[in-house]
Amino acid sequence: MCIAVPGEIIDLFPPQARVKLMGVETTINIQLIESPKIGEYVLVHGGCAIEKINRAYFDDLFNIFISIIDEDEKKDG
Amino acid sequence: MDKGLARYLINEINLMATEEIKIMEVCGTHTQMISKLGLRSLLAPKIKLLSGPGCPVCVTDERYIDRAIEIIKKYDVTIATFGDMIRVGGMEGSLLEAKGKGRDVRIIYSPLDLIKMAEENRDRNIVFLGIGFETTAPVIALTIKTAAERGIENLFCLTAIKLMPPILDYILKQPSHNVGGLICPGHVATIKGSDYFRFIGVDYCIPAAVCGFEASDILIGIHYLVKQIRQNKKAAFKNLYRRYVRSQGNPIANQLIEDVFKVSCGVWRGIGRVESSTLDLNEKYARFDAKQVFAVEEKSIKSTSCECKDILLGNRTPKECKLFAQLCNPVKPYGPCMISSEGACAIAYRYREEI
Amino acid sequence: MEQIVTLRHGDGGKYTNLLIRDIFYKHFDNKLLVNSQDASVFEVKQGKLAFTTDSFVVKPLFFPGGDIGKLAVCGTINDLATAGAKPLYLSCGVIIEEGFELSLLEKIAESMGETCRKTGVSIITGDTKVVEKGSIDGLYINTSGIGVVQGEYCPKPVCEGDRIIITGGIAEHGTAIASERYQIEVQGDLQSDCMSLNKLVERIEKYMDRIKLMKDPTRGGLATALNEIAELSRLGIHLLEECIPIKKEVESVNQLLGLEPIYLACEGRMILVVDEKKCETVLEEIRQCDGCEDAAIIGSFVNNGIRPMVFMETYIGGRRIIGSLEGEMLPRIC
Repeated sequence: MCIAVPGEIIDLFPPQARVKLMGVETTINIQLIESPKIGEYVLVHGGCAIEKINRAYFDDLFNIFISIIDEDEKKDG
Repeated sequence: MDKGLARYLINEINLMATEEIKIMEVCGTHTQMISKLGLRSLLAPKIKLLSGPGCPVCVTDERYIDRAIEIIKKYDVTIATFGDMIRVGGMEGSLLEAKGKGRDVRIIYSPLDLIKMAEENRDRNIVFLGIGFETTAPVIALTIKTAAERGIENLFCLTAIKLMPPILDYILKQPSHNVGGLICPGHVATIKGSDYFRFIGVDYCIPAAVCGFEASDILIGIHYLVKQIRQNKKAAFKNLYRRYVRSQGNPIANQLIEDVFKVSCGVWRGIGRVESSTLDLNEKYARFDAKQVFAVEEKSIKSTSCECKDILLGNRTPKECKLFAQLCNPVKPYGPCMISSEGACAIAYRYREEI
Repeated sequence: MEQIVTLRHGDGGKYTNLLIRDIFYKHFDNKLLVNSQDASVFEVKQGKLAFTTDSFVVKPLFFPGGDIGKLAVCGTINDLATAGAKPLYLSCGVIIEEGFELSLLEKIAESMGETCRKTGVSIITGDTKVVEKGSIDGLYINTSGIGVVQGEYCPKPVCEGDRIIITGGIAEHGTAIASERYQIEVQGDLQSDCMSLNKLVERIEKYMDRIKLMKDPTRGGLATALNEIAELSRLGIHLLEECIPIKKEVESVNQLLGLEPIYLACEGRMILVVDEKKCETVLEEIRQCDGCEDAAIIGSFVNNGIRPMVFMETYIGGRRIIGSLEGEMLPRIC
């Protein structure tokens, strides 16, 4: 369900924007997100940006993974 | 995801699982990714990954398709639909068959393409089959709102947008359910917020996690759930997709949904009526509602020996259905689970895996 | 001056001849064609002949990297190539819908002529029909081809341990078509891989004794072609996901549309089954050919005692059974 892929905004012409995703460019609608800027990463679903990436949590998974390893090491050590 | 990291997590998950654990996801894209990664083979036999009703094509009632076909026959409209919907059979055949008989059925990728289609084909009435879950709802809402603003009079929508919480309630209220943990659909949560799924822990004491769709997202999600189950933290809940999911979701998208739709009782194929589980166009946008504009006779439903209801609910595997691979296969799909390429039976047939 | 094809262009008389002369003869220009009557006569040196036919109904007619004409020429040449045959001559039958734009027809004929010249093949006989508007969708082409089998190549029994080579990135044609059909307006290096493989066959002629089988993964993609090979060989195939060459543009369009590259058509790729001992040498030779720089060994044959099937080792070490494509692959939204 709900295929969505991340892309980088490379040009803005409201209500649309040009995004680059994995080496291809395509035009999408940006009316579902607040103040999009060039250089921001958005999630694209059905020709629409549905959310901006939250850079603060970009490394979230990696940190969770590290905490898993740390806990593991504490168990062994 | 780095192979080494993946192998590490898989190993950890397998070490933690001392007895059988069933984890359900309710999103066709999660189902596809899990199959694509060959995850079941790496987590078997202790961890069983179940595929719930997360495929909007799978759960579209037969009468919806019949209505679409009746509309096209009676009113000679153009039907615009997402790809795999055209193979779904109603009781009177599928849209693909109707197309073969010369009816105007077109496949679109984005609902917003309809605006251009309507403007370029002013002599045709275009009926869009608006199916999907909460993720697609705002895109459909935006399309209808845009059509209204531009005074487009030849675009209509036959909605069948389904909502996740009511069907999850339905599943988790079944006494026979054996779901140990739930992977919540990350893109529904992107729109509705992670809080949308907190009720799972609160009402049903089952750990749940909002997960994305990369290998790392899914593995860390499964690791989290298995750990909570092991530690008996039954009401645990975590948002593991914070790079896109806020606790309250996307306010613009939610406002649009509220502007354009109203919540109604829904009919889920193979399951039946589920209260407050669907979105219909509200009074303000009634003129776009194909159900009202193109009235047709509603047919009564035939019974079928398709086991999709139990398969969707995770109570049976595709192989346990008498029709699987015998009468029902991807070329001639009987039930919804075989129709969509993301349906549990289609994936089981294609990948011949144990589900 | 006519702008469109009309029914009288197909009635076998003056207008048919004008159409043939001004469009087909002009671009397919060769003595055998121009001098022929109802049949073209030619001589062949001794040897085994290969003969094949295919019909082309692709929509849209024009796509990034090619058109129905180029496809019709390359497709038939490549079928001859799978038999190890050097293509000699092609036939070309066209069925045109009344009202078809003449300028488009000429563009297609020009493309066919150019593809033939590049490949060193001639279209030496043909047929033209025009049918009523609405009875077909635009244009259909049939090409048949005759070639001479090189180096006494013939398919041989496949053994456990034999390796599988693909001559380049997968799913480029299918993805280019999908992006046109579903109007995913894409800018990037996304083109059909449509090209003829006869030069490749010439290059690897000296290894023909170690090449067990050749197949081009067209409709149904790599997955379907490998399933057919597995069925024929009665052996299992162990495929390595990490080794399958695929362009990132192809991956991303497929992700956007919810399609799977292993099921999408290639129109300029060959699968070769090669003896384990010679596979690296053959691979190096293939990589020297234009358009085959990304060729790779992607798997091997195994005898696991169960029914022949294709299973893929995913990049994280998981196992996934790959079936044939049944029905058409359609894009998903949700």
